[in-house]
Amino acid sequence: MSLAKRITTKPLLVLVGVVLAPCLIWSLVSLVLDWSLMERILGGERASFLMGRRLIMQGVNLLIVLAAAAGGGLWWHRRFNRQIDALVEACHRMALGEPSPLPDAPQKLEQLGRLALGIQVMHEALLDYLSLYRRFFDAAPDMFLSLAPAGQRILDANTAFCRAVGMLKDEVLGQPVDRFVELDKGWEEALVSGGEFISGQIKAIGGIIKVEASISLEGNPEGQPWVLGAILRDVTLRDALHRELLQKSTALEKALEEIRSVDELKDEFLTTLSHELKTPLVSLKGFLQLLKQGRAEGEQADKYLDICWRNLTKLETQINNLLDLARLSHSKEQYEMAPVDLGALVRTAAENLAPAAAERRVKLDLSGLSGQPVMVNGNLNKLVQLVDNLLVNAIKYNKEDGQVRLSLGQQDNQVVLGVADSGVGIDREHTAAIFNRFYRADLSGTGRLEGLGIGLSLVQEIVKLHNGDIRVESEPGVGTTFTVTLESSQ
Amino acid sequence: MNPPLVLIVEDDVDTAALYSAVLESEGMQVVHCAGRQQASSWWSNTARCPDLVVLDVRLPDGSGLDLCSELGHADHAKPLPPVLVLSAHGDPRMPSRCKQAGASAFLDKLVSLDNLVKKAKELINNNY
Repeated sequence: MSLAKRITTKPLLVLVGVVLAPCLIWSLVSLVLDWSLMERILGGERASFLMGRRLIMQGVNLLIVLAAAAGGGLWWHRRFNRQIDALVEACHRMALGEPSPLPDAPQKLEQLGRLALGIQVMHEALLDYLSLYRRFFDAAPDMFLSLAPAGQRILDANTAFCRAVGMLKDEVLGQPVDRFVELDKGWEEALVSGGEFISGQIKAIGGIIKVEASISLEGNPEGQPWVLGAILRDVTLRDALHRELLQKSTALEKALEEIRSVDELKDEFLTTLSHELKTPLVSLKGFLQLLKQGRAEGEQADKYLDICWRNLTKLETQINNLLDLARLSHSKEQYEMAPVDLGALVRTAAENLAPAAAERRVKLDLSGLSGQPVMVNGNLNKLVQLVDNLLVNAIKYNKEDGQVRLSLGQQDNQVVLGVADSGVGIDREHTAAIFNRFYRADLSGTGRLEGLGIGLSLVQEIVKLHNGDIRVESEPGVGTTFTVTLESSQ
Repeated sequence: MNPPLVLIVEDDVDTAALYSAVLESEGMQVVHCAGRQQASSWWSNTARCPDLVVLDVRLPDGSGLDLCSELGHADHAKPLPPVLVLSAHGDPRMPSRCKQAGASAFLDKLVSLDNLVKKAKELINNNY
């Protein structure tokens, strides 16, 4: 039974019960009393006639009263129903979310008025809640979408979503959701299983926004999944930060690895330093001890002295190289620059190293040097050191019966010095590292790492001091060419 | 009686000359090899077992300690004589590494010549 019928039928029955029943009873009682009185006064026939007429009159009265009651009841029923219908209509509109004021509560229908007042209070409370949640909905930084239960159409969308897609809310509502949002696994599948952290993207006005979607489902009355809505979180910034963090973490790991490798290099250098400095010192100290104890005379003593001198020179060179490298790395201002004839310098260096080259059966080819002065602006001592280091390496790491070709030329205000050997060459993987301080490649091809690993590093520092450039080209088994470019002072 | 035979494995020519001069002045016979392969080859081709091996750690073609292990396992008919390792290595773990490789003693290369001779004689005599 409907609410309206429940409310309007009861007063009608009350009206009938309260008004008609006493009337009917009183009419019957008064008829019986009148019948007995009239029979005694007027006799049987006359009394019967009058009573019959009166009975008819009473019946007519009764019918009139009944008709009046029915008419009143009907009027009451209709009036009641109109008020009820207005209330129900207002409730329906409210349920659909339409802003609709309730009809004025009827003053004369007190019960109905109280009911309407209750509904009014409830309505206002609901509007308050609705407004509160609407504000939450619109203020949320995440994008909220309410979706049609069976399909993928948008029923409601908050401000964050509308702002992202650059459209008004009215333009968004009713549209298929996949017009704006793409999910990696597809909406079909996502709407069946629901769940969180579903990756996707929004085609926004400012470009692509990467999102993470959470889809809420609940069972409908038939037990099928019923889509409530989707929350989309903009993860573009988070992803970018994640990528940046990952890059930084990789860079840090790399730096840590480099630190470790520098540490290893330092340990290796200290071991090498100990070996390279102690080895000449062993001969020096040992032979001097023999000489001091008078255990050598004549030619043998001279031979021991030669050995001592050679090792002393070796030691001096190592120490000077080390100190120079440290000095060059820290202060470059103290070196006096002046015009230097590099051609003459290279010739002198080659002449000085000729005995060492001959000892190793390496030919020094000077055909690439012209007799003309080749002037550069530089520090004489450092340039001698540069050429010496390159030449010593070229002789030291050469093959027996190999050659070292020296060349010097001028090109566009620049002087180009070439030192090419026919030695063992350097693997491509090592060429980039040979200028690193303390790096020692297997240049001899024997597996032994010779020297302190500072010769080429020193060469590079000297080239830098002269604002020049150094390049290396090498082919294993064929040889290595170092090309130094310096500014010409001519 | 033959003078004690000492095999010197040392790549630095001057250092080898020093050791040879000192040990020969003490009446020992010296054979010099400049690298691992040369020493290994001499070991295989020589019937006589040296009375002492004076070994450098850093050799041009490998580690002296590896050579020590190799000689110890190479020929059972020729037992490994005492091995005196002389190194300019600054590594504090070197003495224990030498012991692991089967060497009898380790001395820093900058040891005084008197101590070198003393240690060499001690090792040779203990072996008899």
